Amino acid sequence: MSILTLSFTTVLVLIALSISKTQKIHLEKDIIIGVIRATLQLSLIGIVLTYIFKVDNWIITTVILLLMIFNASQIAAKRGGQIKDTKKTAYVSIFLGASITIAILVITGAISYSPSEVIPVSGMIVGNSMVALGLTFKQLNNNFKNKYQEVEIKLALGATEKTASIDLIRDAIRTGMQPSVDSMQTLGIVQLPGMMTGLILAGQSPVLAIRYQIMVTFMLISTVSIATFSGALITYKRYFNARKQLNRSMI
Amino acid sequence: MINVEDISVARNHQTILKEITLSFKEGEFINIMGPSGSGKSTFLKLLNGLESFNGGVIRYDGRDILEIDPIDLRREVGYVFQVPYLFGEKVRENIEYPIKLGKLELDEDYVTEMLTSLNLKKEILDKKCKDLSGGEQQRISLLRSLMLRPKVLLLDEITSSLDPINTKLVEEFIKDIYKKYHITIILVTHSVEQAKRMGSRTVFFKEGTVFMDSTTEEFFSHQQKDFIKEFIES
Repeated sequence: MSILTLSFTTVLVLIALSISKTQKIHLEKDIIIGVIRATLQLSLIGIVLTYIFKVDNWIITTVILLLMIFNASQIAAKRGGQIKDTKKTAYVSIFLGASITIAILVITGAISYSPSEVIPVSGMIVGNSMVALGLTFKQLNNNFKNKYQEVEIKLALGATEKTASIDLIRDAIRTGMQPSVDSMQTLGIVQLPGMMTGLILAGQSPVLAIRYQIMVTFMLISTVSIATFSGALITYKRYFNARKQLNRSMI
Repeated sequence: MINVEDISVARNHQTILKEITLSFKEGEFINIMGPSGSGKSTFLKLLNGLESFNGGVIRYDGRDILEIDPIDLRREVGYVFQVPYLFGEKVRENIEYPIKLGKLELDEDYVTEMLTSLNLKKEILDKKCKDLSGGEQQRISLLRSLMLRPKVLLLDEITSSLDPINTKLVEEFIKDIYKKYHITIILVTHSVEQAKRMGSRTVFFKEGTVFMDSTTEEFFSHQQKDFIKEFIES
């Protein structure tokens, strides 16, 4: 695709702008900023990735991976409201999910630990974990606010903090994982995912593209489950104090 | 059995309880009364470790409760909340929950006996929680708290949302188990009439302090302090 051809596709943005304007949705400014940011950010990362792929150094690759996790954890933590240390929790959880998944992919030979393979794969798993973890934090917070009476009754009956809040924890993990599970179930029927579409558009055979997509699907569900499980299990403890009482400032 | 010495509780720079000192003997049946916001429920939660305090000591059977694992304490000091929150789908789950926590065997005879005393049929255990009336829910929540056979039972306005028939049923049940199992009972109530019918001792809270501590008979005699007279007559 030439730059000229690409520039013609801006017509598509004009459609979105005209809908926003005529229907008084008032998103024109955000759409324009979004288009500019997406173009600049992607162009910049294109240059950076070209350099990183060329250097092919595992230390630089790892630093990039850690930076991606750092950025994702900052955003996921925003959904945690007043929960303490969500940034740390998010970092640990996404790191755990991403590192286990990448390790399995590298050990099984599905990918090699080279920047051209690890960075795109990490982008997908870290991004998905970020969204899933954000949902988990938000749901856990809502659950504790809405169901603190149930938790307190269970504590009063002699339950441990974990036993008293296990239903709330499970629900929060389920909420975080649900979009990934739904998306997995509709693959190929409702949606043709980005990676597969990209490979086919770039001239790869659909069979190879599908093979990669299946790997991507498996790694996404694995990372999301590890990250949400870890995030919820670390976070629920913040709702209790050392005397196994509900932390009232949190609810 | 329970000694509360100089207990104070403050939240967000606001005093809820101030230098409370009270003793409860084993086998006593105590009413706790007082206006809304006087700290009654907070006080009750302190006794089974659901709330923390800022100063003072609470001793249970001579031991500082801060040295007792809160889980062990809560299994001996039962608590029934004002709102009968039943969890899970079936009523049975609520009855079995404390038993499973304590890794005990369900004593079917005990459950049957309790259900009969509560004027409930055994079939209720297989009903869905949401199908129960308010009165049935509160009776099940009472039974749930009794499954671990606590030595002390804390009751926080448990009949405030019940009709007179259910209130009478619950009151009779509490008096029955008090006589039969010699449980120490501390009942928070707003109802003057209920207090007369229930505990032999009445503690009156006002603005986070103990305003009066006497026998129930003396409490309702004609020599009360003006504030209590006003409270009783309101």
